Amino acid sequence: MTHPITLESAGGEYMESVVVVEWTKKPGEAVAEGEVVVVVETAKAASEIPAPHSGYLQEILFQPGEEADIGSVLGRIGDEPSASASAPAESAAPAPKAADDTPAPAAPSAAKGGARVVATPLARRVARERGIDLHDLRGTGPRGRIKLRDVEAAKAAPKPAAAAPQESAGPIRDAVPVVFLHGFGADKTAWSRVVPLIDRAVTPILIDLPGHGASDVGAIARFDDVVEAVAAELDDKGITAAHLVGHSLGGGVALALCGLGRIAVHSLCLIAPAGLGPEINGGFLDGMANARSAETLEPWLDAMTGDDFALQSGYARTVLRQWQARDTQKTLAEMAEGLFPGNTQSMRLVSVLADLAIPAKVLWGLDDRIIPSAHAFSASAGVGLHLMKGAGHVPHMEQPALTARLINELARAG
Amino acid sequence: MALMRYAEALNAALREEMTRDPSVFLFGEDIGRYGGVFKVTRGLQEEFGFNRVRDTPISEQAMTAMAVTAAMTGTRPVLEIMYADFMPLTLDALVNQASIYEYIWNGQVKMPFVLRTQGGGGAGAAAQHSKSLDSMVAHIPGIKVVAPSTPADAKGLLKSAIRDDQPVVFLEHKLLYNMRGEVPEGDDVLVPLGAASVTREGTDVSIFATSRMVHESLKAADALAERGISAEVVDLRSLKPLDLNAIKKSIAKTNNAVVVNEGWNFCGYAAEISATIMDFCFDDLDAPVARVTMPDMPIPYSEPLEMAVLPNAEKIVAASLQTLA
Repeated sequence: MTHPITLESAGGEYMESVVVVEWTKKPGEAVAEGEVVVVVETAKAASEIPAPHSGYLQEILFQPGEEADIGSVLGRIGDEPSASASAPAESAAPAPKAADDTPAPAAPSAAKGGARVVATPLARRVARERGIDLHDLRGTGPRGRIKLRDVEAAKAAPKPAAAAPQESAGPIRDAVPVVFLHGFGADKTAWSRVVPLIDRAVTPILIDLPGHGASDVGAIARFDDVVEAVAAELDDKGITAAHLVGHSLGGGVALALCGLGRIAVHSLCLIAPAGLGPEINGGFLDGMANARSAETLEPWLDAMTGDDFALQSGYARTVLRQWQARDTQKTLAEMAEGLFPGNTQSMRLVSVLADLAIPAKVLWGLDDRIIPSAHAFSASAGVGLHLMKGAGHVPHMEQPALTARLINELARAG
Repeated sequence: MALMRYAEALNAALREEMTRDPSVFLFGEDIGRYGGVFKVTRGLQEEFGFNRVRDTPISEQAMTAMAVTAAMTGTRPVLEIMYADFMPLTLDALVNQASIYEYIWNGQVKMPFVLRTQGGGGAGAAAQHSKSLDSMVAHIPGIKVVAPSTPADAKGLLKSAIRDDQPVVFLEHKLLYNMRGEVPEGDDVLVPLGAASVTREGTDVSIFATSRMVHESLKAADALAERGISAEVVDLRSLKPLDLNAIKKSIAKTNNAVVVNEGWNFCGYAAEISATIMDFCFDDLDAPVARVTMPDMPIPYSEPLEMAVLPNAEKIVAASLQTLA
């Protein structure tokens, strides 16, 4: 199956249209979820769009220099390194030399965005296992064949600097991954400002909570069932150990996962988490679920941030369009009613936090208008408290550098 | 352990099995009074009598059909076909009778017979007396094929073949009969069918060889060692059933394979092993599998020409180096 790379994945930068600056992958190349796959330029700045799914870049629909509207599908990621991957005409490698003058009918081997790589089965296998792109290697075997020794050499040699310096072209990431769990009403793109700043040694895994983003799972009204669904998704992804980062509702889920014992949690970073007290901004929950126009949604989205941070104009309109495309608000209403009945947080997780024996931090914006920052003080003495001046409910969007630094500290310690 | 020649080891195996089991008997051309052209059956007619060691006319087709019926009716015949080059005359009995009777009669008959023969070049015996037709018999389902390369294996494998309830074609090599080697003593020292043997351990390239080519491969491994290359030599011993695990294990270690067999190249035994390696070890291969075989041509009588066309250590070294290039 294929996974569209849409402009809605652009995270914080929402505009009416963008210009594609460059693709960091060629068709046919492997790409990991969360890795930058295409850079687009908004009126304000260049923005990196992470891959929504791991797989192989299959199709590029907008070439560099072309303008794409919000909501456009920029390209597609396939689960398999498809032989039919269509290379863009301009960047297609020289076609295989025809042995005769007869025009070849559809040439199945011409694909994969470049000359066919000649490599031994062993070299291919080892490169695949280590995430090394054979296109980057020079073969030293007969007729330029790439052999195991060439793959071994590539591993030893430092990678040439990639175009986007903070992004890796897929080095080996064998450390315990960091799993990110977003908050109520958001989706995994909420982390787009933090993920590029995470240590390259660790793999970021971005999860869409049930009923949110591109999750296959619909509305779930019981908190324990939400936790169970996330645990099941981690199981499916083969994740048995992780550093957990959770925001708001996702923070509550992360904390509950620590108590569940299904995966080995190496460290925990909670950002304005749910579950540490009863209060939550009911107007925000209702507004999110019921706003039918950008004008009525915008004030509630603004409520997420502190005074120092303004969401971009057009943000509310884009969010609403995405929600309407997926009927998200009905799901949000159902979940809000179950998780926060009577505008009260139903999940009670203070004792789980008190029992934690792993490195853990709680981050909270002092200007949080959704969940009071005072909840932070229910954390036990073994947990690090980081109260962030000037930040509201979404420090990972408002102060991504500091947030990423604190997450990195935990990932290194755990 | 006793030091004995390959031919003597075979003779010992026959004597021991005939002593152990009165249903074992031998027949073939010149095997009785003359003791066989390679002296494998020397002294057995005197010891066991004319009834159990029989000389036959030159009639390979009839002899093989006789072996089939004798095996079906409760004895364990060991038939000698003087040269492997005459094996085509035995084929109807092998392809249409021996290999399928147990199957078409639903297991009501067993087919415990051994067809001993010898092949191979290097003796100046020319185009009608030098061939290796390993693949021709290994191609037939229901027939086991064995090719010992040492006196110890010659004895142990022949004893296992005689005790086996399926037809076994036992391929000896004319240049090995005089080879001396240590042979374990004891009536019950068997070498199982279907088990390869790692003759020399190595880490860089696996050389899979059969029969006399094992010794050429060992010479090649010495020459490769001088270049700092560690070659592993695997003696397949049982051409069929094949010891697939031994092949997989070796390639998992070396990632490179050279297959050496004295038979013709096209549709040859080495081709089968190469294809099997690609079926089961593809992702472990760091180079195409190389074959060292006899070219597709008659074996010349002229000694320089015969030496030029037979596979040898020099060609095995070259193939190994090409694999590692």
